[in-house]
Amino acid sequence: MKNICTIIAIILIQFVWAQDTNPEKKEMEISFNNLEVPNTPAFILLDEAPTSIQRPNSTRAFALDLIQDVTEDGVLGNLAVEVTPFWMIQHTHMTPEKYYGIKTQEDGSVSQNFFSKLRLASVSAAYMKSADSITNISIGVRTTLFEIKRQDDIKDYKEALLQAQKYLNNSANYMEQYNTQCKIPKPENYRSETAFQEAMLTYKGICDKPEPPRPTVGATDEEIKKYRAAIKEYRLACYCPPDPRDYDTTAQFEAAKEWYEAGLNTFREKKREEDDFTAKDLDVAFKEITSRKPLFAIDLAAAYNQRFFGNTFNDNTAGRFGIWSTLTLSSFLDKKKTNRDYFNVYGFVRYLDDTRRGIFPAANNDRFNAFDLGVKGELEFDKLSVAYEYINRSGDMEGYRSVGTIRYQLINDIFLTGSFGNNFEETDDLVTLFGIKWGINGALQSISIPQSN
Amino acid sequence: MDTYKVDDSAKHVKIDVKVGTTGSAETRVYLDTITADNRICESDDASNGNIPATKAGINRKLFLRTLIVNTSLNFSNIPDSAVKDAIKMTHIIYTLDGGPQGEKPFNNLDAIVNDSDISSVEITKRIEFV
Repeated sequence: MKNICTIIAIILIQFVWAQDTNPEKKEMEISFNNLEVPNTPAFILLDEAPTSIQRPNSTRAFALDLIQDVTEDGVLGNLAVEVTPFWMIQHTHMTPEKYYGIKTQEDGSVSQNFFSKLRLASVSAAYMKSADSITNISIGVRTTLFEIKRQDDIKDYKEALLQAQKYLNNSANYMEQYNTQCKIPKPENYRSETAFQEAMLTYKGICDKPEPPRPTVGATDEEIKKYRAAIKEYRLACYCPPDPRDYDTTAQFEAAKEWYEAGLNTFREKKREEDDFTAKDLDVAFKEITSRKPLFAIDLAAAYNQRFFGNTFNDNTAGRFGIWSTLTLSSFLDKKKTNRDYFNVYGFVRYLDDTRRGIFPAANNDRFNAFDLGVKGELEFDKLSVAYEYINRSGDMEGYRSVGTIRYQLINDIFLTGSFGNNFEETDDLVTLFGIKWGINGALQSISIPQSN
Repeated sequence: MDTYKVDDSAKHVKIDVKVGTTGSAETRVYLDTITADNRICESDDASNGNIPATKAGINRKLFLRTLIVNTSLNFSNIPDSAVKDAIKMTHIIYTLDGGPQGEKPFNNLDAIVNDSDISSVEITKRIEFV
């Protein structure tokens, strides 16, 4: 246990460091730091998770799950970790559209890739010790097989993406943008305000005309001299920044440069404020859209458990194996969708292959199979969700699970869960679980937005 | 202002930029004006301002035009008090090739430095094709 904690601590430290990314780089990426932190399949297999029926819309790069049955001794002694390998790898060819599971066709229509979430499969491992000195080690895997998004959500995502690309193209170079619009005379070059105003009228005319024609190679000195005089006048009127060739003295050039830099700095400050606002605004928009639950989804999960008796490594036997699927239908509580509150209905089906607890070594006739069928209703508000689930077990094992669950997001990364009810067994079947989940964002938990041409 | 000779041929003149700085750098190359329409090339994100040999135009069409190389430097990784020294220590080598003078390197000693906003320092070098 001590070694497990040490390994987890090392991983966590790496993740915390990894989150300190370059803020300038972030402006060009969609960062997914608000992903969900669900119960791990490794816990669900053992019927020890606060809820067995759950379908996360997303998972973070790394999550830590601590659970305690409040009727037993100990403090959060059951532990699970969940890792999403997708967020551990730099995806250089992953586009925001591909990640979201949509594709823009040549005719401009958008099609869905119903299987896009397969790549976000997660793996988990759990440690749990029971009162009868049995240590359970479980491993699990989960993915979304299929999902259907709402057309409104796809449209909003596409619009946010177009806005982001427009912003990136515009904010590429402030100096270039400023020069494009600063074609005005420089007042310090004139003796008086009146002279400057008169020049403004004249120069406007110059800038509206094409540049003086350039002589070709081999032109006479006279032609070149004439061209230089004409282009000097044009540059003074129409070019930014000032060109040292156009000023008779260094003092004149320095004055023009000062005038130019003051204008550029004012422009740059204004653009930075606008861009900062735009970047934050876009970040919020993407987070909101990608966190919306799909209309319909089917998840698949599987887990395996090995039991160890009396703290002895060699005294172990195959425990439980389970494979299950969760079907989810989500609808907004508010028809206008101003609040992201949902009513979720789940269907759950699971096959279990298990051995009787406490039998070592387990023979073939100690094993038995069971089939679970369940439903769940959930009301999900901003940070709070309340749910009730019922699962009927049939086959070699019989029983039911009837559990109410409450979940609260304390801060962005920490979630508290509690559940109470009946948990399958005929005796010792009271569920009184309290858990803390900590989701940790990885440094690679983002997708780059390409600049459009 | 530095100059580079061109002839009446259709041979390409190439520009190569190498930036040595303690900050992060981005370089953009223009003809005549620093505007989007006149941008020839720019450095890649990972190159820290360096641009490999890139075509600027053919000899005869560059006559009396001005190559402008603008390098933006970001020194957010060092204290503000050290930025002035960091700007002084920044060396940029601009190399032109393809004209009758062959390969000719230029430095940034006569380049115009806009450091009125130390969070965004600009070094602008002009070379006229004659």
